[in-house]
Amino acid sequence: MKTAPPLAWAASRAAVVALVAFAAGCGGSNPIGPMPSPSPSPTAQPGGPITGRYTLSITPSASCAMPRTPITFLMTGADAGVTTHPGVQVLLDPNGFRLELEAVYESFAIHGGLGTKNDPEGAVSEQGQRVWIHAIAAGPVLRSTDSRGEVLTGTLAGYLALATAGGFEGELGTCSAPDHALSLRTR
Amino acid sequence: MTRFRALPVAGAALLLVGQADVRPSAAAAPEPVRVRASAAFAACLAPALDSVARGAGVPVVLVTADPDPPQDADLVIGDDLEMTRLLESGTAEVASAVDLGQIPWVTVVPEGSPRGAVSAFATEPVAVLAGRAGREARASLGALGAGRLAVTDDPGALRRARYGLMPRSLAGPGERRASDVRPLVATAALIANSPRRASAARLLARLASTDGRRALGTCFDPMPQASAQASASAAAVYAQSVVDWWMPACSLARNRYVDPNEALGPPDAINLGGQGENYLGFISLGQGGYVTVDMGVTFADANGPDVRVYQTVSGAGEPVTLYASTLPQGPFTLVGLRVPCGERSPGLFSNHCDFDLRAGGLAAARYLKVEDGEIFPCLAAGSVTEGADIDAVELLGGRN
Repeated sequence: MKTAPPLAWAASRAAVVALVAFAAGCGGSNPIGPMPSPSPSPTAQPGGPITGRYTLSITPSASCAMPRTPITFLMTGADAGVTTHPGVQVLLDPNGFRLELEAVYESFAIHGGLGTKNDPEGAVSEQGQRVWIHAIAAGPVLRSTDSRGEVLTGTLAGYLALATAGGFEGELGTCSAPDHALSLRTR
Repeated sequence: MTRFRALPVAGAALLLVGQADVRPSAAAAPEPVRVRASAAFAACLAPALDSVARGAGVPVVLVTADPDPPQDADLVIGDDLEMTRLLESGTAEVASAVDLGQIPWVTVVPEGSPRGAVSAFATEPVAVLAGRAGREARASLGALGAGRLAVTDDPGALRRARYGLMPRSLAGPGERRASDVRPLVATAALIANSPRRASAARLLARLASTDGRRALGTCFDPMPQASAQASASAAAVYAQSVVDWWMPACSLARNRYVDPNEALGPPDAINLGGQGENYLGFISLGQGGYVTVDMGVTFADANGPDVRVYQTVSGAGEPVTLYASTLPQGPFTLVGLRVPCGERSPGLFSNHCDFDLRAGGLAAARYLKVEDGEIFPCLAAGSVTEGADIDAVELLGGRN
């Protein structure tokens, strides 16, 4: 059943990588085209490139025994090119490897994985908490007032654990839920 | 023959008193093998390791600490959640990995406590194990907010706790109640390029032998005899074709096994051995990547699990998320979110995890979207097999 020999899959991988390079060379992959000039709109339109500086906000699910205070991070977003679908990469700013979102961005919505490392440090929020996340972020993308894309009403499905600075993972609570709230707002 | 040493690092709180009896002699004594095991397993290993080490003719130092990072260890012993990245990165040798047994979680409460969830009646904080090995246990106590949990890596504190959720090996007095939390699986593996590899391999072989398992048996439960043999019958239904797939460009550039067609057909992943990570027969999904497959038939929800996903490489259970639909383009409904995919599959290199359509409220499906649930940052990747590694997808029943 697994018919693709090593050379074939290597070739297919090379083709996809070439596609990434091609897409990047064509000016990026966001499904909404190049960034237009800022034009504030009274009603938000779908789309807009996810690029530049953002604030990621996570509110634990109502089913979690955690404070429902938003947990926020300063992030930087960028077009991640096209593999089989167009993607975006949103990283903690700085130390992007500590909190990374890799998501498909098409049909005016994102869907992808938001994760921290598995070490005792997690990622430190703007509130000074340590946070561990392994979850799927999804939501519609709307044009912000500066025409970039942002997610105002997203969801985060998966693992969320909190601790004080220097505390053990989960000492302030651990919760796996399909409906944490997420937003990714321009800043 | 065994010496015990505690490390001055977070997570290494079990202080085992040294009992060195490596006798100096004129002939150069073999250098001790350094065994590094997490607290739950060290509590079991400590009493048994001495006789095992004598049998193997290998002096041993046991360090109680999270096996990852291994520091100067030659042999590491940890649960799936602790071993995944060690094995996937090649730091520990996948080919050497052996399951020594498992330890169930128990809820400890004062004798005569009410029935039901401990969160409903605990009058003081509920102690629970810190670190990766305790993740699923802590998540199971999600109803307890800050202040009602006492997360600790101190085995003494766990044993003293009146209320707690801990591996049986770390439970103190009080009434012990069975827990639904997945048992910890003690997987032992050699550290690659260890300077004492031959001695460590001898020790591991002894640990895994009948005598070794007997010595450990009072503390470890045997691994269950899973009914997970992949079906070889002609009626078995495996994924037929790839409808869609995606992985981030970052993961695509770093992972080595990126052909989605490898998720089709029966499980056939193999470890080719040798240096590095040499495998065949699966796709590593990368950070949050997915592959959507057509099972070739519409299948109905049946009693029990309907779908089995075979997940491979590390001998561990990278989580998998499954969505299902009757149409190739969806919409896809969530069936299982980040399900640990480490159930052992006898006779196979791959492990597996099962899903029930009913959990997603679905009566039938044909197309399955299998998504990475590990969700480890691509930029922090340490292997060429990042993300869940999908070998095969099988229908278990309910075909129509």
